[in-house]
Amino acid sequence: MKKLTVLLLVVFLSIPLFANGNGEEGGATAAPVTFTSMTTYNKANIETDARVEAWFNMVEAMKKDHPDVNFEFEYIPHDAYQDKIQILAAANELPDALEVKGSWTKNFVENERLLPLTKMMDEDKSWSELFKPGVLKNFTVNGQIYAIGIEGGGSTHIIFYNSAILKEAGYDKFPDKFDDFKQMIAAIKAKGYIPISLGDKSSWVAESCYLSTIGNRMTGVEWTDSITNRSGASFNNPQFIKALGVMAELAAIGAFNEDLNSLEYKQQRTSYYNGKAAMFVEGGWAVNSVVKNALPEVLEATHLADFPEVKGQVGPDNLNTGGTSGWGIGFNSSVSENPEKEALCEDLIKKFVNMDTAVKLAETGRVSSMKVTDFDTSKLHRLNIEYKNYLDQFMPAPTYDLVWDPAVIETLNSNLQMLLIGNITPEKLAAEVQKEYENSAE
Amino acid sequence: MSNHSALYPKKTVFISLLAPGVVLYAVIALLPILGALFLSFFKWSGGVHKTFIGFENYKNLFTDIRFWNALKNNLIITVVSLIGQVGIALIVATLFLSRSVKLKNFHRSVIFFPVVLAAIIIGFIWTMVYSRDYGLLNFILRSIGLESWIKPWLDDPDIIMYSISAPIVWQYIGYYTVIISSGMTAIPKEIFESSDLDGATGWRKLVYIIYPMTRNTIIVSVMICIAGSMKIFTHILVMTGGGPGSSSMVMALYAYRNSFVKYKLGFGSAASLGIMLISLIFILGTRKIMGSKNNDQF
Repeated sequence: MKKLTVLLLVVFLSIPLFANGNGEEGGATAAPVTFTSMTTYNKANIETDARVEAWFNMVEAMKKDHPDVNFEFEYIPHDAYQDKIQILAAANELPDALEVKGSWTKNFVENERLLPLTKMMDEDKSWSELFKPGVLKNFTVNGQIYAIGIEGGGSTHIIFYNSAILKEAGYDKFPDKFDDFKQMIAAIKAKGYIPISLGDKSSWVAESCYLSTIGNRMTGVEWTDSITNRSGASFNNPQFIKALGVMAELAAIGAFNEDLNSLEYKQQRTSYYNGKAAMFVEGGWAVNSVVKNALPEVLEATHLADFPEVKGQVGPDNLNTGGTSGWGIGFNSSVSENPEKEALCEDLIKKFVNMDTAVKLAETGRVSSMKVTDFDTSKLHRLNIEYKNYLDQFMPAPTYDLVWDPAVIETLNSNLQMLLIGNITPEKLAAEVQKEYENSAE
Repeated sequence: MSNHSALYPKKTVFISLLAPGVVLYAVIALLPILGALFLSFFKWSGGVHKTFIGFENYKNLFTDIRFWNALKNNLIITVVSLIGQVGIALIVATLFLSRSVKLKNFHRSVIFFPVVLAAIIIGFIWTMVYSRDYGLLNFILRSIGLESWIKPWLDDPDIIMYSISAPIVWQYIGYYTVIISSGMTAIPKEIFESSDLDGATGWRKLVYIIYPMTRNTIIVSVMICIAGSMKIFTHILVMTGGGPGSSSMVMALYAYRNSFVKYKLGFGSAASLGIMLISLIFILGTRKIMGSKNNDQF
């Protein structure tokens, strides 16, 4: 009996070894094409998120049109996705289609990981001319486009505020000067509410949704571009340090919840939804979540604003980060070795990003990367319309983490966490980031 | 004849029986280490271009204050774990010897239970335990009237390493209890009986009988504990990701973030080898101090 068990074990354990070998040999003769993809599109959200709906409609259509291709579409949650893709990229095992973050593009392109899409776009002007001008800027390296976003042109900085709480604190309208804003925060705090709910555990919120906007206004967009292109600007710029000072000041007057470094970005919305916090700051992507999840009385009282004017700012008041696609679909450069796969990529992207899906996005309150002029606004919530008006009035500035070197962003983000608990001064933070910036230069 | 060959197999039989294990070990453990050693001499961001830069990565590594800060955090976890895991396990295992403890099997299972959970689950559970508004810990403190003790457990750089050590200690007490318990069952009963006659109480029994008799088991536990603490990663990744700032950064997380967030894969490899080197020094050092009398034991 014992011998039999051992024998069976040996046989079963060795099956994978041999099976693998056989499979690869067989693959050389007549294997169907396998097309893999990894995205953050979660089928559970198909009802509430037009991007997800567009993605899975595309999946169905691809499967129908290419019955002989073996498709593998994988979903990975947002934060885990970022880690996983970095690791796969380093190991040269990226899937055929993937979601690319703007700031990854440069590195991926330098390492020949992504397929250039400019030729595809040039060949079909009727499709490529539908995009908003400049919306794919973050995916463009040396004039070549490497990824295409379905969304684009939204803002990564919006203050969601509960007007009922503001009223309770004695404010009928949102202040447009930073000094008034600070007084309002004190008044809200005195009423026992959390003034601004912040969840910066994964460390990008404070930079992407706050500092990028404040910084661009203080320094002007030219400085940001100069940092991006390494054409002379330094983080020790006094205006940039002032922007950091604004963040430090907010932290010092107790504008945030004290567990800000251990909450995830989605958790920061919870206390707002429940009416315990007066404000939270995020990008346009949070609008639909508020509509769906906030208590009815909170939703009723919710309005949108942008950051008030800070003394000494260079840029205009409506200069907010956004205006480009932050994330897009890109393809593994290795697909160019197989014309059949390359054709699949083109089919996929056109089935996913087109005027039909763009209109659907617009009708559900999202901002499409294509110019949608005519769509049905009847199904939109008041807050969606308010967001649309917000976008009509704002002047786009680049979000830091979509354009700067990831090593610099990592240093900036993790030091911002310290700044928000008063453990580092703005000057010291700027010096740290500058050091990393110089180190990471080629 | 057949008996003889079964007792003294030929060299070729020895080698062929050992080969699978050795080959697997080489492929799974040694090759990646050599690969990392190779990569550590390059500036590499994960693609086709590698630039040879000699010892530059090592120079940067050993002059980076953040690396030493991460090492300091590892050492805090090591000390807390040694006291918490091995220390408490020793006491718990001693209690299991006592006749007055009832339901021993039940206790043993419950104490061992967290060991079988994945570190990532432990991390999530304890993030919830520490949650300011909804956490179990603050709930208990509030309900017994200790509001003043409530802290932002995972947000204060001064206490974060201890907040993070608690779940790590909690998870592995059972593991060391089992190891030390098994060492204790080897102590002859007669010794306990005669010590009872001589009037040795629980505490004296632990110091004068149990500790000397299970010394080797404890040394092994200490080694495993140090090795485990030096490579700690998952709990912290889940609970804080190394933050706020880098106040809960440990060496493995430092290597990981440099490799996969900052794209410095060559530097990350150098950091990994640095961790290996430092861990080896600590383990060999401890072995020298603790095991000097009976080196032949392991």
